This record gives sequence, C-alpha cells and structure tokens, in this order.
Amino acid sequence: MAMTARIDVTGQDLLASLRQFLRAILELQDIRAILVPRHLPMNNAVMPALVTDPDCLEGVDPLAPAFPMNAAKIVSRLTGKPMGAQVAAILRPCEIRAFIELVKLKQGRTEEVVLIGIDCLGAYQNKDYLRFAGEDGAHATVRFYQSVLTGRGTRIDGVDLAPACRACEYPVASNADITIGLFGIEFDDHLIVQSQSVRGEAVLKQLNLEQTVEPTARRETIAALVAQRTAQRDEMLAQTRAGTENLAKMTTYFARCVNCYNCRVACPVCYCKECVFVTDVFNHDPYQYLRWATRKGVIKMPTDTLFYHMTRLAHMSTACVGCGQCSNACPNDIPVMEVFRSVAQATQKAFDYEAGRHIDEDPPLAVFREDEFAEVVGMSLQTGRQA
Amino acid sequence: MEDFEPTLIAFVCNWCTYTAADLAGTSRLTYPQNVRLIRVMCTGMVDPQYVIKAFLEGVDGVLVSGCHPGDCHYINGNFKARRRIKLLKEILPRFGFQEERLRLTWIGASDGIQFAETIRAMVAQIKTLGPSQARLKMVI
Amino acid sequence: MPAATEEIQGAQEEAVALRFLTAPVRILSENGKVSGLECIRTALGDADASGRGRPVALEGSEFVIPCDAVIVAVGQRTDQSWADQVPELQWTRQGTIEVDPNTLQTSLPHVFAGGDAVSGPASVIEAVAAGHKAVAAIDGYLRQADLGVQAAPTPAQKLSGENWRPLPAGLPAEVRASSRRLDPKARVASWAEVDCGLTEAEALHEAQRCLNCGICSECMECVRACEAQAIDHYMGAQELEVKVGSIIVATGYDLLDPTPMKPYGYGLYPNVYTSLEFERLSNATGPTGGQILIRNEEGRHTREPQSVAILHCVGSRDVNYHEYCSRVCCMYALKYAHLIKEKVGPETRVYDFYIDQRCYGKGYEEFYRRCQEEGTHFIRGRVAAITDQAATADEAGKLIAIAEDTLLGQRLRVPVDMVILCVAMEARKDAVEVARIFGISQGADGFFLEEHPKLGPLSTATDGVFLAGACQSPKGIPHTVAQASGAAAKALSLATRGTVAVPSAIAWIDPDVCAGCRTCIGLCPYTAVEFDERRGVSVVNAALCKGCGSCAGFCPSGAAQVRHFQKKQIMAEFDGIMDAGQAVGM
Repeated sequence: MAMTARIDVTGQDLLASLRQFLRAILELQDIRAILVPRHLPMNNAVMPALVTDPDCLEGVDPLAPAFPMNAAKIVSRLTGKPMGAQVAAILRPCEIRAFIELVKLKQGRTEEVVLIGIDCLGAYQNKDYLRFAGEDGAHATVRFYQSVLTGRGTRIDGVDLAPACRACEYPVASNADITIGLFGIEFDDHLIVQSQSVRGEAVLKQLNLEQTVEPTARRETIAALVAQRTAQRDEMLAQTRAGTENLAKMTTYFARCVNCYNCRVACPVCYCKECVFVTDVFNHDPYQYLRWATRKGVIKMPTDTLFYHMTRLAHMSTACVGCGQCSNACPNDIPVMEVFRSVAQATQKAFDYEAGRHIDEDPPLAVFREDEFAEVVGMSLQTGRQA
Repeated sequence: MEDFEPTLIAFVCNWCTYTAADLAGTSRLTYPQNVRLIRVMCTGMVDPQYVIKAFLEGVDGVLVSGCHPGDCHYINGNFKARRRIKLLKEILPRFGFQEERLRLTWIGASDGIQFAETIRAMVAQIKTLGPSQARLKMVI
Repeated sequence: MPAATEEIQGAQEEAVALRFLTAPVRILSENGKVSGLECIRTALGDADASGRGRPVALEGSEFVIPCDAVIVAVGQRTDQSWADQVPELQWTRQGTIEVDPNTLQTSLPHVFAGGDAVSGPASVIEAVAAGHKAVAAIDGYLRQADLGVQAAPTPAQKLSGENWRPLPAGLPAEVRASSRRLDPKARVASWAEVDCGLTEAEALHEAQRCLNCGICSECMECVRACEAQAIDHYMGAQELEVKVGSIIVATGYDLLDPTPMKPYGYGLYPNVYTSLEFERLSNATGPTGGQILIRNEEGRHTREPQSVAILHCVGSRDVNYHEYCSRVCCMYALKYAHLIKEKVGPETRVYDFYIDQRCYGKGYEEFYRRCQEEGTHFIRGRVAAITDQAATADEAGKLIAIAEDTLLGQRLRVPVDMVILCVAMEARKDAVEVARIFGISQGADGFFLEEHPKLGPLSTATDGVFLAGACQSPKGIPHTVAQASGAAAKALSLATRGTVAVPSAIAWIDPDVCAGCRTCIGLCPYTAVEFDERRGVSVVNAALCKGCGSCAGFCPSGAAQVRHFQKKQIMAEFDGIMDAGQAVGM
C-alpha cells in the first residue's frame, strides 16, 4: 500500500464522488475505458458496462447491491488477447479473485487492465434486488450504503444479502492495483483510495489527489466484519456438511436439479469453452439409457446429475472463490454455493492453496512434486477420517 | 452382512500393475475375484471423473495402481495421479464415500505377490465397511 | 639535453666533452680545411612563454674550439611550402598544424593531422599512434558521432591487481640483467656493435626472473611451437545451430573432489593423489615424463616411492557420499598396482585397500590374480584416515594409512610414501541443466535415466535422444565404447529409415473444445503439446507424444483425450463390467 489518497464527498453523495474519481481516471491519457456496474435505462437492471465517454458515467453505480454476474468473465473477455489499450475495471473482491484464477488458466491477462477493487458492501440475490430497487435504483443504492456504512445492517425491507455475501470473509480486495476504501471511513466526508501495485500508484499519482493516511478505525471495522462473516461462514458450512454428508442427503439436496448447467455457465472459474457434460462424451445413445435402467430398475432422467456436480467439484473447487453466482443462477433455487464452498474449503486447504490469493501460485492440479502426499499412497488406514 | 461380496474396480497402468496382475495370474496366485481391472496406459490418464462415476454407479471400492515413484514409464504420470487421488479423497468422504474405498498403490511389474495381497487386503477391508451407499440408494 | 641517459653515458665514456650554454658563431678554416669552431658562451635569460629560459649571448666571451671536422646536427621543421594553397588551415606559432589534441581535427573540420607536422620532431611510434587516433576520430566524424564524446581520453586505468596471479611471498628481488658493452677504448677505434647483448645463459636466467603474473602475455610463441596447430588464441564462445535428427548425449562425468573428506588429507599432504592425478603422473607425457615420483613439501618431484597405498571406494559405496559403486575403480587400482611394480620396481610395496574386488569383466579376474602374484598386498578394509603423525621410527617422514583388516580383524598402521584415492565418479554438476535442455530425466544418483534399465538402455524418455558413456552411469571404456556404438546404430537406424512411425495410442486435443488454458503443456513430460497462438488452442505434436495421458487426466472439458483410451471408451468399458457383473450376480 504505497500510497493513500482521499476523495472528498460533497453533499453526502458518495456515488457522485465515485463518478468524479472514475471520470478523472477516464480522462487520463493512457486509460481508454472503464468497466463498471451501471444502471441500464430499462428496468433498473445493473450490469457491467464498458464506458469510454466520461459523460456516460452518469448511472454508473458500483455500490448497488446487485450482482447479476461475476464480472471476472467480462474482464477475461477484454484481456484474453491484446487489446492495444489500457482499461480500468471496478470489481468486487470476489471478482478480482476469480480473475486471478482465470489469468492462471490463461483466460485473461493483467497487462492491459488496472484492477480497481472496491470495498464490497455485499449484494442481494437477483430476485431480491429487483424487488428492493423498485422504480428508483439510484435511490435504493443510497438507502443501501447508508444503512450498511452506518452500521444499521444489510437487511432492508425484509431483504438481506445473498448467502454467499453473508458468509464472505473477503470484503476488501487484495491483488487489486487500486482499492477504494469505504469501511471505517467518515464516508459522508471523504473516501480513500489506495494503491496496491506499482501500476496503481502510477495511476493515482497522475490524479494529483490529496494524500492522507488510512484511519485506524478502518482496520478495526474490517477485522470486526471479517470475524462476523467468518462465524457466519462456519455456521453455514457446518449446516451444509451435515445436510450433504451422505448420498441420501445429497440426492435430496440436488433433487430439483434439471441439469440446465446454469451454475456452470454463471461460474466465473468454470472456464471451459464447452463443458465436458455437453460434449460427445455424454451424448449417450438411446439404448444406453435403457441399458442403465435395465440394470437398476429405475433411473432418474436426465441422468448424471450428481455425477455432474461432483465432477465440477473435482474440476473447479480448488479455484472456487465463493461468489455465489451458481446459486444465483439456479432456476430451482438449489443452494449450490453452499456445497461448493464446503468442499472448496477442504480441497484448497489440502493443497495449501487459496483461490485468488496470489497470481504466482500454480493451480493445484497443474503441478506436482515428487515428495508429497505420501499418506494417500498404500493400504494403511492412516488418516482415520471417517465420512 | 456376511454374504456381501463387494465390487472393486482397479485402474491399473499397463507397465507396472497390469503386468503384476498378469504375473500374479501366470504364477497361479489366488486373490478374490471381486476386482475388475481397467487397463490404462498410465495412472496419469485416470480422470477423477472415472472414479466418481464408478462410485456413483455403486462400486464398493476403487483402486488406482501404477508404477513406483521413479519407475513410471512416462516419467512422472504417477505423481500427477497422486494429486488427483488426493483431491478425490477430499471430496468423496464428504458425501459418505469412506476414504478407505479409494486406494492408490504403487505395484511394480515384478510384484505379482503384492498385487494379490493388495486385492485381498482391500476386499477384506471393504467387507468390513459394508456395501457402498450407491448400491442401496437411488442415485440421481 | 633531451638525449637518452645511456647515450650520454656512452658518449662520456668515449671521452666526448659536452659543452653546455655554448653557441656556435662560425667555422674557421685554414687552406680550405676546417681548423676550428668559434663559439660564444651564453647565459639563460628570462623565461619565455614556454617557461624555458632563452639563451642570451655573453658579449666578449667568444672562444675557439680547434677541430678538423664539424658535424652539424640540423634541426627539423615542418614543410610549410604548401600552406598558401590552404589559407584556412591554422598553424601554431611553432610552425606546426593546429589541431584539437583529442581528435587531431584541424581548423578545417574534414582535415585531420598527425605526426611530426603536429607534434614537432618525434618518434615513428608516436606518429603511428597519432595515425590510429586520427582514424578513430575520422570514423566518428563520418558517422556523425559526437567527436567530443568519443575523443575524451580514457582515464588511465588504475591497476587493481585483480587479474594477476598472486605472487609467492618472500621472493628475493633480482636485478635486471644488463648487456655487456664494448670497452670504450676499443669501440672508438672500431665499427663493431657496441651492445653485445645477453649470452644464452644470461638470457635464460633473465627469462626465469619472470613471475608470469599475467599468465599469458599473448606473445603467440606457443602457437608457433605447437606442431599440431592446436592452439588458437582467438577462439571464443560460438553459438551454432545444427539441424539434426537425433542426438547422442555423451557428456561424461565429474570426479568427486575429495578435499572435504578431511581424514584422507587430500590437499594437505603433497603425496595424496586422486586416481586421475596419478594417471597423469604415470603418463609418458606427464610432468615427470612418466616416472612415478613423490613430491617434497614444495611440490617438486624428487624420488621414487618405496611404498604406495591405493584406497578403493573413496566416496563410492558410502552413504555419506554416493551409495552406488563407481565400477571402474577396482580395475584401474589393479592397473596402478601393476604399473608401480613395473615402473618403480618389484620391490616397491603396494597396499590395495578394498571392500570387495569387483573384477567382473573379460580377463579382469586373471589380471587380479596376476597382481596378487606380483606381490601387491590386498587388504580388505576401508582406510579410516591418512596421517603424517609418526608413532614409531619406521613411520617417520611417511604417510600412515590407518585401517582395519576385516579379514584378520586387526587394526593396521601402514606407512607409505604415496597414497592414491580411487575417488567416485559422479554426475556432472551441470547435469540438471543438460537434462532440462534435452528433456531427459535423472535418476536418484544424478546420472541420466535410460528409457528402461533392461529394454532401453540407450534410449531416453525423449525419442531421438540417446545416451552413451558415463553420463548414464559410471562405466569403463569398453562399456562406454559398446554403448556409444549402440547409440550410434540407433541414431543411424532412425536416419536411414527417414521416417518415424508414430504410435496410434497418442493424445489428441479437440480444437473445438479446447479453451487454451495450457495446463496440459505444463503437465506433458515430453514437451509434446504446443500452443497454437492463432487458434488459441493447444496442439499435440504426434511425433513426440507417447500417449501417457497426463493431459487427458487433467483436461476438464475432455478436449485432450488419448486415442483408444477415450473417456467414452473407458466409461463404456466400465458399463460393460457393471453389466457383466450384474449378469453373474455381483
């Protein structure tokens, strides 16, 4: 954190100040565009938007409790191949962590993007947000951040944050070039921006902002928030584990799954162009179904539901950032995120890995060492861990 | 469940464990007939999917067995397999498939006796664990 | 008088009188012959612009030097006869061409000047130097470089002494030899060469004064002396690109350095040798012309040894160093024993300390028997230490090998004049780097790993790369030759066929499914997967792929699959097993 600067908030309008900051960045010579959540003219939907015209920053709203998709996928699209220009992206911490994973999988590059991580106030599930936002999305955002930042909580009008956000222990971005700080700040007076990288510092220096120091209250506020979230996470994971501890419970858990694969489409780290479950491998011949049914007497159609979810766990749980988009995307409201986070916690710990922690850490299954995991080899009952 | 005869699937590498199994046969060694071998060129080509599929289809145990470290015909496929088995051993037990049902062993081409012993030990152990839940419950 | 000291001295020896502050006035003559030179005394006047006093004639001090001949030492000045044609050229007051002292550029930018015309009368060497300087400046001028920058004189380098060989302490200072000169009396009367030079003995002695501190002065005499024309001072590192179809790696081995094995006293006692050093010592082209001689404290070879100890397995078969057997030591140790007996004499006592005598080759056991018959003492037991601390009068001035004879169960102290350590052969220090370059692997011992210990002892994991010699494992000359011949034949069989058969069970990556994450590239042990930047997908090089499926085991989308072991096929195989199992009631 080489540099901390302040942005004054006038008229208690946090969004206006943020837009001012973004305008200053957009007017820099070398930043051609900003990717940022923006209210669409229709239906108050908030979606990532790529803005090049500073005058189009009106309607930009990185504080809205809307999280229709994990924008890491968008940043991946923008950076997968050289663009020939620098863009800035305003992202939630989970989006940055997902993007770090995508970069490791060569689905994006950091060379042409300035990652700006904003303190994440959380978001509602898609349906809840639409209800909450009502007719005036901008006003809804003001109500939301006022409530969150003054400590009145995230539950408004009987609506609370998505389960993923309630259990998220990463409210503040790491691995960003620049962070925008809201927690533990006199937010009706100013907010702070900090550089976390050389590139971030270079951008901030060009803006000629007034330098300041990080208020001590900020660290404490974040620590308290993380502690509270961690407790909620552990409670959620314990419940989920109990609810999925055997096949019968798993079957109940996923009983409503219709194999739409929306969770895989929404997942930011499911990077395959085509999921193996839609390739030829699973394009079974009709007689095959009959054969399976004959063997078992009855099979549920469509088949391979648990096979799909467990395979996906094997494929991406080590890269899971817990953003909750899988749950958000499920048409039948299956709490997919909970299962994935409960397994991800174990698989990431097993490889001493943390998704999105560091860009130089190799994905666990992309590397190996000769001297490791001796305990998984052989016939002895070494770990004694029972299901 | 005394009359329970478990079904085991063994993914064995062409160069070491498959040869060992062959040797066990030509040496007239006996071992339980509960195991079915799927020959692969290297344990490094065993996709974790195969193991998951086997368990969901009601197999009671899965053995993945390849060459000893340093003996891998493909230099280091067995080490890659070891990471994948490690991963599966973190996932499967969370859903009630006991860790002991999945085994990774190194059995060299000349270890016919060890192959027979491994199968014996694994079958005996799975008999004490009882049938896999996927045999008894409908899997979706 | 700006003459060389030795010239002045020589003149004085020959009774030439030197007259300073004297100026000639005129030459006197009688009968048309010179009779004398009239001179006038001068005194140094006030200093002029150059700081030198101008001589001023002293009125009335004229005098005559009677003489028969006058030799006029005429001064020189620049030929300015053409100066009018180049009016722009500026001249100094001394009548030389005015130049920039650094670039030798004249007042005409495209004209440079050097030599006597600039410096005034000077030596040929200085003129040549000026020529070099001017050429460099002209080159810069034509390239339109900044002459000011390039001409800045390089500051005199301070000698750091870093590149010098350290000089032995306490060397007595020796005076430079000077050549003998003819007696002045004799030389004024003859035309003989005054400087007689050094005699051969003096020259040799003078040459030996050289401390050789600069190691090589590039005199190139060695190039002339080498009949085989094996020396090239200008040879430097070159990078060559050679297109080949196969490669035989024969990078050899390193010898274990026994210096850290303190008990053996290598590096401490002058007569503890490694096997290779002894090999050199006994070689006819070696430092002693093949005589086996021990060294004194100064390291000079003095006399033949009366007794020699040969120690097997130094660093081999030793868990602290290398667990493997270096294989060649037993036989060369026997050879040394035989050589010593033959060259120094059969009465020389040779002690051969071994763990096991491994004489497994053709004729080897017979040679062992012969050495036994020659009287070499074979002692089964590892030597614990070599010391020069004598315990008895017999041991005085000797090296004592302390060991246990494990056959007799006795502790031994064996005084000897010379000790030979049969040090282990080990993998070369750069083996990791070489292995990486060729895509081959190393065994636990560091040597390159063959494809299969029995069925592929010449091949490696990379097709077309073969192994020969001690880079694969310690081995002697016959085995190296055999392996190298085999490797050459393997390489030739590839070359003559001209085509390579690719196995069918190899991987293929579906370009429609591949997302280009490139994880398979990192996992492939054969560097058989490449990335196609244009299409953004990974591609299997069929000539390199061996079908291990490291890529397929990872690829989450199933884009990478191994032919004959496709996901669909394996799952079908599994389904077949389950159906069949059910049919028999499993």
